[in-house]
Amino acid sequence: MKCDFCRETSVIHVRHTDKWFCEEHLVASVEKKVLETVQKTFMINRNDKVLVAASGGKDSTNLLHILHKNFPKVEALFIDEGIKNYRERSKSFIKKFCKKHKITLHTSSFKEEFGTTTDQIVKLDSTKTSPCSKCGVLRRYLINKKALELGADKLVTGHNLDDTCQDILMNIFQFNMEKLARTKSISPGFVQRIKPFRRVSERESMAYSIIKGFESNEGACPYVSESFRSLIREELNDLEFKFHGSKVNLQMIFDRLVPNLEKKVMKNRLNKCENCGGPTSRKVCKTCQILEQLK
Amino acid sequence: MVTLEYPDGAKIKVEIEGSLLKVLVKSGENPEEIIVKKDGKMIAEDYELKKEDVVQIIKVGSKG
Repeated sequence: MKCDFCRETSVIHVRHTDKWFCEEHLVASVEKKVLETVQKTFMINRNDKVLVAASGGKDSTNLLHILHKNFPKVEALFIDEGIKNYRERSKSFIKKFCKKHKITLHTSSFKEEFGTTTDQIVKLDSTKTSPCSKCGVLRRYLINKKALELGADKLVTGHNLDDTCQDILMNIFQFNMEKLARTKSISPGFVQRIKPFRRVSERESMAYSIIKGFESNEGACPYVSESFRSLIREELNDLEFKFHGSKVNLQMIFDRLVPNLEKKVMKNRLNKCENCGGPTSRKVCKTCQILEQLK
Repeated sequence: MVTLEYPDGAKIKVEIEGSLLKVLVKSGENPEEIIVKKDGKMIAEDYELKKEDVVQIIKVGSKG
């Protein structure tokens, strides 16, 4: 097939829009989606200090590149969770990328902040729950803390269309109404999180990264197979292949429902954690609970 | 017979020729989860593969 926008040979068929793209028009399409998302939802003001949580993976690297090209104050933050034979590679990729593109890179680690690593947490965990649930909580806490310290106005994460759909379904299946409703709200104690990549699918993102020739860490996290997310991802991809547009439709329905959901669910204001003073809906925040269990 | 090459060095031979989409479905791969390269360049799912063609498979989702 030829590209739907020119006569070049297409290199990818994007199923959810049923469009065929050559390399040039795939790049243009991804960048357009990101900038439209930013503009339509007033995500970034011209003078905002924008901090991109850069993991060294394709999504955050792509996003860092697009935002840095289009906004004046864009910096990167890398968190080392301490996952052997995985995070060292990511750190090396993002360091090289930021140096090449003259982007300020800030770094922090679980070891420096919590005195432990994800590897150690997994080793010591007697409950044998998913490592992702603990690593994710600590990672989010640390990213927000660093964003506050650095005076960031917006905290950008590289969540793509697939991630967003997985989050929605996971919260539904786990009956996590508050988390489901909180995805779009702004809470005191948190730097506003934005997801400008939410309309770009995982596959489009990978294609963008390949075409641009970016190096990124696409090796699997050693703990990924144990996660609930992996199961949801497989099911969603199966659904998308059989019923094109399933992911986009899920996201659109969610976006329309979320204002009402927020009104119904978000009745309780966030408290201050009795231990660290950070924002939480409980007495003691989840980060402090995890660290307490490790003592 | 089309050969699918994986980043870890594994190779799968699929006894079919025709569009890449047909080959992928026959191999059990979900096209939604991969990108395919041939001779270093990305190819779309309607690309006609012939016997003895070799393609590289790139998995798109690997996060935790």
